[in-house]
Amino acid sequence: MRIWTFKIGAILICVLVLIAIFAPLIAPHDPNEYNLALKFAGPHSGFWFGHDADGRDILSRIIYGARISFGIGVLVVGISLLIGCALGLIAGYSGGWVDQFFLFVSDVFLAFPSFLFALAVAAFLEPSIVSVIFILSLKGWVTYARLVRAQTLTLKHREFILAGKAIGVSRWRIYFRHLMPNMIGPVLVNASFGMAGVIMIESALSFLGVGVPVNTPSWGAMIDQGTQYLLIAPHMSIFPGIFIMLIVLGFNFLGDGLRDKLAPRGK
Amino acid sequence: MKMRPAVNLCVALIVFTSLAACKEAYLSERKTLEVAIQSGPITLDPRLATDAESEKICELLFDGLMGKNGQLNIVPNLAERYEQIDNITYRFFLRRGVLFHSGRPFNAKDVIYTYESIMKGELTSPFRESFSPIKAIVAEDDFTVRFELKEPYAPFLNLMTFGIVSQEDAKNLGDRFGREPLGTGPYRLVRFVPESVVELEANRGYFGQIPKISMLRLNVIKDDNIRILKLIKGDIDLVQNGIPPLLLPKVLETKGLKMRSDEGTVMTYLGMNLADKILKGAKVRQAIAYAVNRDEIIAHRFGGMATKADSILSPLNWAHPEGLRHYDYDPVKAGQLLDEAGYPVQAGGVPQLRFTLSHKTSTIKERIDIARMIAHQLKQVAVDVRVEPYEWGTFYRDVKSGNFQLYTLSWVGVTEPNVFFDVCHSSKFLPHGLNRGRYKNPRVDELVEQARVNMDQQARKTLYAEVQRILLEDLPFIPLWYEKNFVVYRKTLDGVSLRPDASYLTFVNVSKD
Amino acid sequence: MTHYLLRRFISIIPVLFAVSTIVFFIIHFIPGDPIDLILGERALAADRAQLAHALKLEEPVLVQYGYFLKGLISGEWGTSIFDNRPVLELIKDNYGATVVLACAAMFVAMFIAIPAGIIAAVKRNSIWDSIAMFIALVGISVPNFWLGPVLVLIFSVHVGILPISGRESWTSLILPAITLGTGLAAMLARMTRASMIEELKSEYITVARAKGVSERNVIFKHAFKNALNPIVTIVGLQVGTLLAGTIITEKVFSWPGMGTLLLDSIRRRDYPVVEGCVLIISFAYVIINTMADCLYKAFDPRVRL
Repeated sequence: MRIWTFKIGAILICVLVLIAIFAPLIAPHDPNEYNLALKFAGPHSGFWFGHDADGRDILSRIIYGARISFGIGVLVVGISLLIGCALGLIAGYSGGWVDQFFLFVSDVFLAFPSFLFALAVAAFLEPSIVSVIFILSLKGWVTYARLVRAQTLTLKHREFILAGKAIGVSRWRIYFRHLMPNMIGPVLVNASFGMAGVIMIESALSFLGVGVPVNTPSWGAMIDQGTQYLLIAPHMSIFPGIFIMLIVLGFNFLGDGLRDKLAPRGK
Repeated sequence: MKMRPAVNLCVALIVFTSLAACKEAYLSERKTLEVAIQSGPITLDPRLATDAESEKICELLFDGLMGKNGQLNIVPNLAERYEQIDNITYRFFLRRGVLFHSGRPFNAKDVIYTYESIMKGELTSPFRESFSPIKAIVAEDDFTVRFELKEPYAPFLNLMTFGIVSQEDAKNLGDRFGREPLGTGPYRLVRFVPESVVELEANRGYFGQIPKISMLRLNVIKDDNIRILKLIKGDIDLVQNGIPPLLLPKVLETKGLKMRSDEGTVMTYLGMNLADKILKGAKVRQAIAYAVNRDEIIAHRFGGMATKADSILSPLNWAHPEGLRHYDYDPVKAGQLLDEAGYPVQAGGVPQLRFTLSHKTSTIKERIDIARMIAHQLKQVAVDVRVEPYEWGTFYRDVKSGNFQLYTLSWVGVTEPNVFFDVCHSSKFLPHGLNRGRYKNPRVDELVEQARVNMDQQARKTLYAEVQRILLEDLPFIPLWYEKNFVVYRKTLDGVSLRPDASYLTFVNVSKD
Repeated sequence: MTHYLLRRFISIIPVLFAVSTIVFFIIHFIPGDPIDLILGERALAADRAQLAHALKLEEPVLVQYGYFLKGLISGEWGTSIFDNRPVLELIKDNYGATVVLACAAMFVAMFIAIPAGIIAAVKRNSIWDSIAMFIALVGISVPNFWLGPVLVLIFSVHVGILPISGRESWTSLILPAITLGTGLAAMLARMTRASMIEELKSEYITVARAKGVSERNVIFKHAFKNALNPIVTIVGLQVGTLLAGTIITEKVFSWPGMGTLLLDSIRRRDYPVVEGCVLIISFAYVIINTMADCLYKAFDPRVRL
């Protein structure tokens, strides 16, 4: 049973990734093409998900929107991973005051209310994808850092590491060739759940009006616009919502399945 | 075994829900007019209220020496009549026997206190500057007040519509006056919960029209969908202007609801920065005006609930002239003008563009949607527009500091044509004037200066007519449309009407069967 | 153990200090002038100066920071720039609504999740288990700003039973609580399942069964009681996410709580109120998290303190 969680997740994500990559080929219409006469029209032939408030094709917008979700997700998780692993390794390996300082800093970042920060940054910078990525990476790194640190703490006393130190292997080599490979598993699992989380938060930020720039077909922004017209065009919010759910579901399943695969004790 | 607690819970839920529904039905038997408003008033002290909601509610609680009637003409109110002694002196004869909501009698000292508390800076009021033309206020006796001006000031009577507060009560309450207001108006305050509800009760001793329904409850419902659902369900009796126009047809599908609409005075415009190197050429600005298809926007964003505008003043205003120039949609002409202005379509590049502009708006959804449509239309003449919504505080600051190329805002509640002085005179540049576009035309300066001190209304009318014509040639801003006022209400209500300024004073005449 | 607790609680202080400092500086450097927003455009320069002086906004940021710290410690959190009420009073008016919502959401979540988790654990690897966990994963994946309007559409519009918003009767709590609680429910269901499975594998359960205790008692009187501990602490750890989720739910349902206050005061650049809200939210988050963390460690003797 458990194996198919992983499989479903993997298939879902692959399909969505393909949609994102091949968007220009798959999308039946230009996602920005106005068609005011058909505004709010529900699903009909050629326009399977209906039209939005400007008459634009929702299906095409959702297809291009996959790029936004994945794009932001990958970038944020990527940046968080890099920073997080680096800091976690250093903190865990060095110990002492470096570690204490790291704990303090990560506590502060965790305690900081990210929505407030998002609002603040959006006021400084023009609404852009870059600012959204920036905001989301700021809190993201902590989970990975703490995880890596925890693993490093247990592993650093193991023989193969002590042996390496004794022969004089450089610190960085120890990080990359010896410590990291042993931690990849749990890190990947977290990355998977992390993607799901990032995509949710990005959508929420768009919903609060501090997300991506105007006209960007982010699924969250589409739901936001759809909610305005909920009473006359529910399809505008239902379809993007389903897709957010699918991508988040996909990553959650993937992570879940990965975790089961990596935990041989099995549940 | 495990099911039983669950079943019990369900039954309990059903019982409680029905009881709650019964209770609500019972309460609505008492005569209350339930109105839904979009945002809560910030203060109910007329000397401090600058936002629209606060001002409207203050109109229900306070009276001024003069008032505005249904056609927005200035008429006597707390003053029975007035005399203009000379160009700089006015005498007002106050109504006798008027009581404040606290029971204290109204007389001249309250008038003096109200104005002086602002003018002398005792209260940090945003209106202090507006009263700067007044030199002195003298109480000739308990019911006569004389105002002395520094120089002739044509819009003076407009200043007299300001709500009068009770001297003793305001002094006693101090800061709390904004929450516990005491005026002479047709309604008195019963309860004010910020961001939630304002409950008002009819003032039975009012000297003017006493409200027909004894209780008026203004419910603050910020979310559009919820406001509409409550109206449909019957929790709310009336909503004025607070429904996105595109949803009106859906709302009106409900059997028990009706709608009235009428022309309004809110004018939305496209502001431009004349200090910007692209926008400083009048041809460019005119081209933009030709490129915007207002009919399309009015049809598709307002469902027809707006009329094309040609001036800050609404056509209902006495100073609005006939025959003002129209900028009807003409993309071909727009293209020509841009070519002439030296901005041909750039060769190469996909898409081919002439130039790029940034259009700043607040984060209000409707504004953003309209800005996007304008951008879409300007794209047809190869002008690229970036729509940049900013959170209100940032947006406002950018507008005030001249950090913008294009922006959209509206003029609300303008009745006095002296607004042209504030908006177009070259001395009123930022950051503290309203001439945000940095428009400078010596002829306009001259005209508005004269009109400000000329007491003859006909003469003023001619002067302002010329101003408005020049403004349409120079186009420092592009007038877009006047939004219509509309009110959606239960059929069981009688006497529902609309004023062009969407004032709540119309609620006084509403009755419920 | 007390030693540990003491250490943890003391370590909160520098964190709170750092958070308040960062918030203070960010708020002050966001463009936008509260004086403009209060006095509007026609105000005289003299009045602006007077207000700026009264609000101490003219002085250099560091000096203002000094005042801020002083106020923080003395419990005088200032007054709202916007409507002159003490910040603490505003917060007091609003936090109740958020607490009610959060508790209702937790209640809803537990009501759904715990039975689901128990069933899944007891009928491990059966079709019930799969279905329950599938639904749980779906539950975590549904965005609550989407779920809210959808629930409103279905229950308030089409079916027409539940009231839509605001805070009148207790029935208006139902939809927001369900919206907010779904994510938590999903997480909780999985945790309950995992925790129950662990318990059911333990020796004392085998002994109980061998002694002939009925299966029902085994599940409820023995396993569940012990499984409860980690469940409770997980709930504590999720409070943070719950608090974040209330911002959106409050917006969707016009529920007048802290989230609404925070969003409104950010919009108005009402510095003292924003600071106050952020501080309260962060403090609550940090304290609850620390307590949950301690509880977790206390109940799981395998983890070294």
